Amino acid sequence: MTAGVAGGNRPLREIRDSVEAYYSRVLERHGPTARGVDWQCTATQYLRLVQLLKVCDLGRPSSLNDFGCGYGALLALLAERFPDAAIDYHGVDVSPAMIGAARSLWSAKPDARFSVGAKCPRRADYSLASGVFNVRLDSPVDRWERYVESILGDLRRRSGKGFAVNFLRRKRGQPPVAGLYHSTPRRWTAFCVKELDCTTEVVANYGLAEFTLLARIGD
Amino acid sequence: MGKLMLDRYVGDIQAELNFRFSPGDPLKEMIALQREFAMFSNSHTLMSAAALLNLAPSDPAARRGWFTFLANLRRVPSDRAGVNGHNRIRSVLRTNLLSPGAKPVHFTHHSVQENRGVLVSTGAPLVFSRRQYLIISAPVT
Repeated sequence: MTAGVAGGNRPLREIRDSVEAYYSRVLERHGPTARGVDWQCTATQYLRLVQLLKVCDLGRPSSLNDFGCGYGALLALLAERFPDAAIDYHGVDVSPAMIGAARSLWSAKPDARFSVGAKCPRRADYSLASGVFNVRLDSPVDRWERYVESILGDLRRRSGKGFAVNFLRRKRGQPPVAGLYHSTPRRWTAFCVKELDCTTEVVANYGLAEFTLLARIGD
Repeated sequence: MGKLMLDRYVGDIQAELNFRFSPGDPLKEMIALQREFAMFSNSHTLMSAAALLNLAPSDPAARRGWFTFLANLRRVPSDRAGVNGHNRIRSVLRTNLLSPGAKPVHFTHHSVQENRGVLVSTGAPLVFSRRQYLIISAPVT
């Protein structure tokens, strides 16, 4: 659930460090549960993952990066929804505490790999990132958006077929919630098309105040 | 109920239920979740739905008491002949969430001495609002 930073400059490293500290505290408080990665419940956590998985064709063997994987909740959903799919999974998270929890929780699944890091660990068919752009804490919006761009750039470089991310939706007439990052689909579809040379699809209206951006490569 | 949970948790869980099924975004979320995961289908218990939705106290003892209360609803009748309280709630929530005019839900309770069963109705239960709700009332002691 926690995000990383692809660039090497100091402000982005500071963001990564504050995000790491934040999510490690949340995990410590709630344990490896939906609340432990700052979601309201397992159901809404899975509903987000269902949208992200729309970028994947899991009918054939696939490799998958789970960026900001938290304790590896995606593995549970994959097992339930795609029990026969051949998926080479690698979860990465900037929080060592999260990766520790993930390794413990999924110790009986040795083919699932986890690593601590701020970048995707390898090039895979698909990369997914759920909730990694939502909690900006006290980072200024412009700096946070550079952080988002750096992560999207890394997802693009590390994905052969596509990647998917989600954002909190800015609601008309309502003030932004302090510490959270809200956006519009246009802001990030434009970036993915112009800067990352992807085709994009926006998934919205799935019951949550957010949208999911599916980015496909080479379409 | 008082034997299963401390009084203060009863109010908390009732407030949380009413918030998660309230008009607007919460109800939209619940409708989407029912469509995607069918939490209130016959293959899930109210206990498993509550766990999935995190509609339970965080205090471990209160959580156990709440789940026991939900399980015990199988042993109480309802306003639908031959349908126990647990299944009545599950069925009416499912039907409501899947209907085009899904209503927000107001959860309340009544004394078992008034009525032994789960009661379902529609109406405007909030004195400050004319909005129509699905009203589910569970018997408590």
